[in-house]
Amino acid sequence: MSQRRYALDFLDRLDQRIIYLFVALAVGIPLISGYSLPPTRMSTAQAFFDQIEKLSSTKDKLVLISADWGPGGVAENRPQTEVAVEHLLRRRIPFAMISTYALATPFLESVPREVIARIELEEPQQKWTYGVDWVNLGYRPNGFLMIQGLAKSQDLHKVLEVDANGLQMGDIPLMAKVRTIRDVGLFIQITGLVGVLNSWIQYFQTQDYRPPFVHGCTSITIPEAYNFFASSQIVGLFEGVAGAASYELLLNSAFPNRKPGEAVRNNTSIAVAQMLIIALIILGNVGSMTRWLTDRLRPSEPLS
Amino acid sequence: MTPNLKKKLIALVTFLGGLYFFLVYVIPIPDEQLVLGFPFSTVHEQMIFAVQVVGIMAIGLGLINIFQVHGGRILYLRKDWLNSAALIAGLCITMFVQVQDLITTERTVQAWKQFSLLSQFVSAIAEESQSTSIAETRLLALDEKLQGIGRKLNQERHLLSVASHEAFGTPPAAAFKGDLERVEVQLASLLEAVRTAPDLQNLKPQFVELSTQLRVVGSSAQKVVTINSKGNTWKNLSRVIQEGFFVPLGASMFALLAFYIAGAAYRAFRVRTLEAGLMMLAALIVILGQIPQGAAYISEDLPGIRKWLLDNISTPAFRAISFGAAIAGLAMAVRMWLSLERSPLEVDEKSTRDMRSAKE
Repeated sequence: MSQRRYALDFLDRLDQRIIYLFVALAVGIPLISGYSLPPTRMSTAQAFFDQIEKLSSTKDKLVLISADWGPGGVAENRPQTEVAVEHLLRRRIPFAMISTYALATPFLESVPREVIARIELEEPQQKWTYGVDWVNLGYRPNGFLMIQGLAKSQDLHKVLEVDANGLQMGDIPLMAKVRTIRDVGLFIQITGLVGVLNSWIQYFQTQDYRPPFVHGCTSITIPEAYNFFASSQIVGLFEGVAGAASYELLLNSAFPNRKPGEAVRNNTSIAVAQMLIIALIILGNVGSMTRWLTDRLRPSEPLS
Repeated sequence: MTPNLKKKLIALVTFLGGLYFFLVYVIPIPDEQLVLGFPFSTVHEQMIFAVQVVGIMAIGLGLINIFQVHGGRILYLRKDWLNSAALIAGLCITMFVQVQDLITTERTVQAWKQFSLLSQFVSAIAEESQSTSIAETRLLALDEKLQGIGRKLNQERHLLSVASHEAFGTPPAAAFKGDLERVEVQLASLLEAVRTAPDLQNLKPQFVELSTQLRVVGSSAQKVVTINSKGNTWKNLSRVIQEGFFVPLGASMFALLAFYIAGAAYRAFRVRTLEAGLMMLAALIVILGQIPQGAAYISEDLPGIRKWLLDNISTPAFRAISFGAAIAGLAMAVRMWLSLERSPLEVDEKSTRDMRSAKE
């Protein structure tokens, strides 16, 4: 039986490895060359920024950052955590890193330290100190039970006991005034995992107090996050790496001496890859439409 | 224990556990008050710790399971035994290095933690001593402890050696020695004052000063041990495992998704129906509205249209799905709470019975 031939037959027979090569080039070239495009401004990122701007730097309240992401979230969640941490550090608002996800452990320490090293290079006269400006509370097991324990505790020092380095809560100047959930002025939750934000929203509150929530999610969990943003259960949002890149624009305007971070570059790289995916979808459909049209227009060949 | 009794016991514990967490969540509990004769707020923290302990036991069970499944495969050289060997080797090496790292960290923490405890001890002397003679006895005990720490540090000079080479500012080792000497001087002066003073009231500022100085010494000691621990082999090995293997391998696994998505988009995303066409159009608008090229080269309105789609189309649909899933989850939870769901133990019992009958 002879095989019927189509005008754009090669599209159907395109080797998977060629697609992979194009993806590697689309992602890699912007990252290697440093090519970047100005990100889209997002109202959700602006809302996140405004929440941090609203905070007072009198050090009587703490910002709690739950970084529930691991190596799989490095591309999107890491830039989000970095820009949020940078904003807090620049405004001298004390914050604590915590996580309910074991794989996040190395990043709870490395992200703030790397951001501090970068901004100390930009502003050599300024210093940020562990225990005074920030603290790492480490990975805490038992998900929602731990969250519930934090919310209900009358003395967080007793529940937390020590930080990730074994330092007692009483020895950390930053934690001196932090005793209950009421001392948390803002809660930042960053994750790419489905359901983690739900747990924090459900359990990190008491009958009469709930800190404002802001959230960072990966691109695939944006629809879930919008649920909570639309109902004002979260009051600021990073929509994937695009949200972090948009936040960088806001940081650049607020701190004119700031050197660009990685979010804009990552966003450009992912955007080029997304353009490629659009192109591939269109090409795939063109191939399939050509086959359909050819079948319609050409009379069927007799069986040999 | 008979299987029937075991099943009943598990059902009872499950029910009581479920009941507790249901009540603690729904009943408004004022602090330190009894609700239905039960001190919820007092015991809740202990309950959380108890659940954590059970969770930790699960890690042990997981380990036994891995060794049973993969150990058997290695011993009998079954199919893919090399993969199992790699898993067990990775597990053992990581566990060994992490435990050594933990022990090293604990030792370094202990080196400076004692100053924090002594600082609390000084505050307690000022608050709780009923007479100057009791305070004097306690201060002498503190003096003895400090001398003991001094002797120990002299024996372990290597603790201070690396830190002395710090290039900037006061070397931490020198700062630590200076701070410790200041504490000794302050303590001697306080002891003298306690012996002559009629009561402790006038000496409170000196106690506070000594307590603060002990915290300063603790902070200096922490800097010394932190610098020293940087050269520790176990710490470096632990870092290599985490930063050299774990993080890049984890990120690579996730990055592979991009390639599969691109391949799948090309091969599978076909517009064959009106619904598929609508979905593709919405996806295109959402992607283009999010990336820089959309607003820059196609239309400035794209981000706005994207937001409208997310707010008015995606969110209501997603919310409906979430509500449905939540109701199903609630029904499932009630069934599990009341042990109406099939117990995982039943599978074991059935398979044991099957194995027995097969042997017979």
